[in-house]
Amino acid sequence: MIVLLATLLLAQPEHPSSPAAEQAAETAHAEKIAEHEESIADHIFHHVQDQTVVPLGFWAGNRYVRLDITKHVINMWIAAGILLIVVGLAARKRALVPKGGYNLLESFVMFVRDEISVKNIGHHADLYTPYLCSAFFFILFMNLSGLLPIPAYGGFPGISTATGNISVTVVLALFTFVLTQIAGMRSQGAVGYWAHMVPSGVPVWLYPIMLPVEILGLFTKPFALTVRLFANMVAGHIVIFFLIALTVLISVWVAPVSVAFALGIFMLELFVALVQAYVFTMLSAVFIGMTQHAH
Amino acid sequence: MCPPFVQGLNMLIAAGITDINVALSVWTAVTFAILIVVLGKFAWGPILQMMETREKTIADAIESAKKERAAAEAASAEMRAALEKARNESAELIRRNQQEVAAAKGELMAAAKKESDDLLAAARKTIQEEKRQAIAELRALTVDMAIEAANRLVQMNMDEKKQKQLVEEYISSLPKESRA
Repeated sequence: MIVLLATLLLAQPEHPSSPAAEQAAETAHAEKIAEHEESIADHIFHHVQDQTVVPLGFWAGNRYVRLDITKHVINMWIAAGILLIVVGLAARKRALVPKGGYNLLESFVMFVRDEISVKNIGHHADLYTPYLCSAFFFILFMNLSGLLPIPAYGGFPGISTATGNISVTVVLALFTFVLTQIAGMRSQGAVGYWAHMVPSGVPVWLYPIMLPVEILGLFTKPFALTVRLFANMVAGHIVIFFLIALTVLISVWVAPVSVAFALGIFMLELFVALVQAYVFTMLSAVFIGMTQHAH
Repeated sequence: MCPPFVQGLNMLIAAGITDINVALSVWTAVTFAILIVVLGKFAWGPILQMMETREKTIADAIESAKKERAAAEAASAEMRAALEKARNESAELIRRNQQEVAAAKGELMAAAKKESDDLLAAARKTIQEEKRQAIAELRALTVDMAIEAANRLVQMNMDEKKQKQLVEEYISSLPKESRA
């Protein structure tokens, strides 16, 4: 963010000094602004977009399978590493009388267990609480670590939110989707679950309508999870970058206002990072809970 | 003309923001799967276990505290009842004791009174007896004296004047005795 601001400010066009050349300069300025708009869009997109850092891959037959380590992979691994260290250190100090960092961690775990898992899943909540905890903390740590304003340096691509990439969120949603199907089949039996696709009590003549709707509903759930998390994370970043870019698009004098707004949005982003982790986990629990009873 | 928001969104989509990068997805799946397994085994499992243990411990502690309290209350009530009983018993004992004492006193008094009455009666009887005896003795004595006086009158053969004087002398010589 800071780097972006610096580049944008350096790219500030010089004002023409001669009044005689004003007309020509104005058209040139307008062109430059148009040019800038392009480059600003590129800049903003560049910051939320993934980019390959270490190209990897292998040939499977005559098909090349890419497994590039990208910027978002690195962010994800940083988040996972911090998560493992934090949770590992805290969990080592677990005690019957909790205190310090472990107490904090446990209050989060307790929140996930009591407010998310047990309330939505009910009877077999204990089976799914560990997964929900993992999802909650992984997403939370990715969201938060993505907000760290660390610029690219040398080979390091800088920090960008992995959850702001649809390729990441779709996988997270698929985990929940698969777990939901397993949970449904576990609770109602493999046949019973699919047989109860349409809620009981629906008149038979409605089945031709209900069955496609229910099958569609099966897939809209992970889709909603995917897009909600991705869009929320990416939107905040774009808004922040855009507010900073206003200093170039309008004038350098809007900087105090745009920076203040950007800071406000940044604070909001901190909150959104937590809320989206909560929402994803909550909806996962709701979807699992919906399969626990034959409708 | 589209609104600027939609324009921007179209631009972002055109730039490939919604493209799925399979490599990134694969890495996400691998990372998330490892996290689920590792954290589930080494973090959430033990932490949730610990929480359950704590909840159970606290619940047990509360339960046992409740039980102990109930037991203490029962013991206290029992003690109070025992105390009350003891107090009643002692009061009863005192009351009975007093009664007994009063009864014994009455008995004793009655006995004493009876004894004194008896004594009095015996004394009266004795006096009566003695009085009767005295009267009898006196009667006998009077008869003897009369006979004596008659004897003397007969023997001495004196005039009436002298006789009278003699009887009077004799009578006055008798020891003075109160009438019975």
